[in-house]
Amino acid sequence: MNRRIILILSIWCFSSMITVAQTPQARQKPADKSGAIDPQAMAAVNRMNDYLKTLKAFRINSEVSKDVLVDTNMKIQKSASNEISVQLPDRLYAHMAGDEQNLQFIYDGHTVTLYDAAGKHYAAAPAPPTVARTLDAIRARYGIVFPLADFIEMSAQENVLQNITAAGYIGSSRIDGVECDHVAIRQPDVDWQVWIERGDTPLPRKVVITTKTQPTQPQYIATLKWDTTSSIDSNLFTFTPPADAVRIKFARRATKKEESGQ
Amino acid sequence: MKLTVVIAFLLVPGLLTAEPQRRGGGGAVRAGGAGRASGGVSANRDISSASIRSSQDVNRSVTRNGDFNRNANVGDVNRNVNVDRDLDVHGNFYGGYDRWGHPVAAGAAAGVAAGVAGAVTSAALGSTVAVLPPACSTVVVGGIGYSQCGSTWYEPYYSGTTVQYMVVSPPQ
Repeated sequence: MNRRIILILSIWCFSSMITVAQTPQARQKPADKSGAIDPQAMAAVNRMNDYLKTLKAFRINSEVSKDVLVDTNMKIQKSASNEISVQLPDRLYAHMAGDEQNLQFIYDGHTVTLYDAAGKHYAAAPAPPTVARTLDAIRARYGIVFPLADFIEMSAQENVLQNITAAGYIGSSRIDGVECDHVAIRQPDVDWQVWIERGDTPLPRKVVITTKTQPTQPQYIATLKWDTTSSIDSNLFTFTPPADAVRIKFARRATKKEESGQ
Repeated sequence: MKLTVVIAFLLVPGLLTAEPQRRGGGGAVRAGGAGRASGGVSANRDISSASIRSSQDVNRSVTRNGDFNRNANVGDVNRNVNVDRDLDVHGNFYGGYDRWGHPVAAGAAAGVAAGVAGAVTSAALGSTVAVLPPACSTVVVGGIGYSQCGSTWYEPYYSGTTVQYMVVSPPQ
């Protein structure tokens, strides 16, 4: 009698040990689906990329939310409204109005100017001859990432879609009432999602960029309203400093510090 | 004797289930520690990438086109400004940001840090502040605006898109 009880208990014990030992491996398996590149997702992204390349002049109104860190590791979301005007190959304007910021960025084919309308400061420096090279130069020299630079670079024929390790088609979605394809892309340092308008004008209507190199995984979120038909006032691309504005300089980034904080 | 064996068997699965839970707990503690270590500076740290392109890709294209060093120092601050080091300087001694990321004037921050009010006079050359102390005047020298605050001169410059003020020798 006692032997039978011991035998039954032993079998129960061993079986529960086996279950416990298997559980962690069983859980890991479904998560390991990354690395797949879904052709439907890439088709949508390439459709957007190809369409942006056909644009010569356009305006974007964008609402941006961006995580910053305060108080050691607490995430706070900052907001900004950006108005961007682009005339390829060599004119660029942006008005960036947000928390503690009221900035204008002007590029006329020769000079980049950053004007701080709140503090009445401006800095101007010689720039490369095209929009694409200027966007790269201000980022490398001064650490300034122009708002929505990726889409502007796409329109300027730059190959932005590099280092993609996985791509997934999430489904159809609506942004501002417009039906969109929702796509998720993985790269080594960032994961990003884009909502691409369906139909004849496959424009990006929303983008979310998640920075994976930071422990808090901060996000940059932008919704975009496009105008690809109205003409752009060429005066926009010329900066005349107001009488009370003071000229200052850009801080050139140390060459060894390129990778710190964007 | 037999009872002991039964109890031993009953205890073994308990130990096995406890082990993963303990490991999970340890992981959570480590994550917290890493967060503290990477912080420490009460500043407004802009860390979320606004671009899907890596800095390496951008730097490669700028280097290929010769656009990084072209026209160097025309309209740029005449020295390499180490952004990380500047953040330490604000946080510890001079005007910087409060714990919620708001800019704080140099005098106020120095007073808090040193425990005395108005300890601005000892501002070291090359140190930077996010906000000037009160009562400064703007002086334009060589087309560039400087701020004179008592006997201390500041040169404003853009660090990224944010204006900072670096303590400099009186401009000639």
